[in-house]
Amino acid sequence: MNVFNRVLNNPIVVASGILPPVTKLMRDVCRKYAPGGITTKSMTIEPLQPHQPPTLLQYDHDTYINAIGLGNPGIKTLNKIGCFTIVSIAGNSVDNITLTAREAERIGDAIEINVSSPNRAGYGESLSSHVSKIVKEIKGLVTVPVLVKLGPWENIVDISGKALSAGADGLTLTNTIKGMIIDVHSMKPILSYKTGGISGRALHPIAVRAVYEVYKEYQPVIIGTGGVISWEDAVEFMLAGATLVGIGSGIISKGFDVIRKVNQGIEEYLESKGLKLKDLIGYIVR
Amino acid sequence: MRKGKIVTMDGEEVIISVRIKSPRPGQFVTLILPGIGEFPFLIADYKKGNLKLKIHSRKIREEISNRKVVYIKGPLGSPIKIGRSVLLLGENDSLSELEFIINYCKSKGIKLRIENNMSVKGEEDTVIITSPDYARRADRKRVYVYFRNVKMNCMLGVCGECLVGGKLVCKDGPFLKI
Repeated sequence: MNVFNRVLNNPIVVASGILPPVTKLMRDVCRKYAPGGITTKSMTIEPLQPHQPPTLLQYDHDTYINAIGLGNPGIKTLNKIGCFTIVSIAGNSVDNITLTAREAERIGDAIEINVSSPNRAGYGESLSSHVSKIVKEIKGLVTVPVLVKLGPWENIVDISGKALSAGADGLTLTNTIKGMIIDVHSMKPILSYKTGGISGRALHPIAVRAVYEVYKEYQPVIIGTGGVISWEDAVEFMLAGATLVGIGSGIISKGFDVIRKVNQGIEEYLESKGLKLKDLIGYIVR
Repeated sequence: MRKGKIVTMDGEEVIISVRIKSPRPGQFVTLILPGIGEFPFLIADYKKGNLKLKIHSRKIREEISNRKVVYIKGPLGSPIKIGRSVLLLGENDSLSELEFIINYCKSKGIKLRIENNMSVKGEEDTVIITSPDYARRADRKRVYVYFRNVKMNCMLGVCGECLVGGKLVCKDGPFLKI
């Protein structure tokens, strides 16, 4: 798989928010499970405390809701990982996220700008209206490819266009979708942050739709992310237009071995169809 | 996360009716009280859909006593690989939490010796130490230390808050092999 002038072992990347922000643990995952690449947890320039638990709950079969809230020890604690590394960055202003990008280039092969997390006021999706300015600032500062991670919003085509026009090299579609669960017995929200991002199985068709609509319009490099549990889910993303596929909740549900199983399933599928990986990308849009 | 109903409360012992996967020795659950928080507890027992927890905190017990329904996440963490004989080192307070492990050993005919002198001398192939304060290496196949008071957040190994010596207490523990 050739992306951003890099040859990756396979099209599967670990999505942001799954690997704890600890260099050694990330290196271990690269070595043991050989994903095409990994995405770090969203890092900020200064440490951020996570919200109080409960912050991550399984809501239904292979479906989760989380509001960890971008908690991380600060980007300066990370070192180079060793495998293809996308450093996810977040911030609470254009200047702040741009500062983080400078640090991210030190350790990453690509940068993913998180303007879509619904889980901390002032960060993530709070900056989505500034996407053009953020991308322009960061593109003027770093030499590595820059992706923008967006949410499964109704204006996804419009905002993707803004990110790409500003110079983004690709998009990660999609982040979680904001939701809420309430305990009717105590009459209180179950998450301490009250709302959270829904990921996993319930998100999958929504994310596939987002990839399809954006690819149809612009044909950019897309990392399709959202509810990949099996190889079929990954192939769906590629048929809709994704070049790479991120796995997040699937790892929580099935463990890191899901990376190998999904890759094996894709290989067998390609063999049975007599196709190559690149033949799948955007197949249903052609 | 499963919905559980409080069956009985007797001192520190709380029985909750809830359907979870059969736990293995060393695993834990979390108790979720909406509006209050999420709290980890070693599983004291789980039989026929009844989960037994030993809850030392009076504040949490008071919260539970006002509710009929709570939520349970788990079983979580990694089971202890118990060999043919076990030496359990700890003080009375901490040992009371290990009821599930003790009963497991008894039910399987595993030789069990419980000591509070913190000496790892002996022939047992598995050593379980109930506090990192007493952690010591021993020339055995398996030496586990219970990291009871480590702050956890997501409880599923993604946030990294409970990192100890390169391991995640919520996912690799709470009994970490040393």
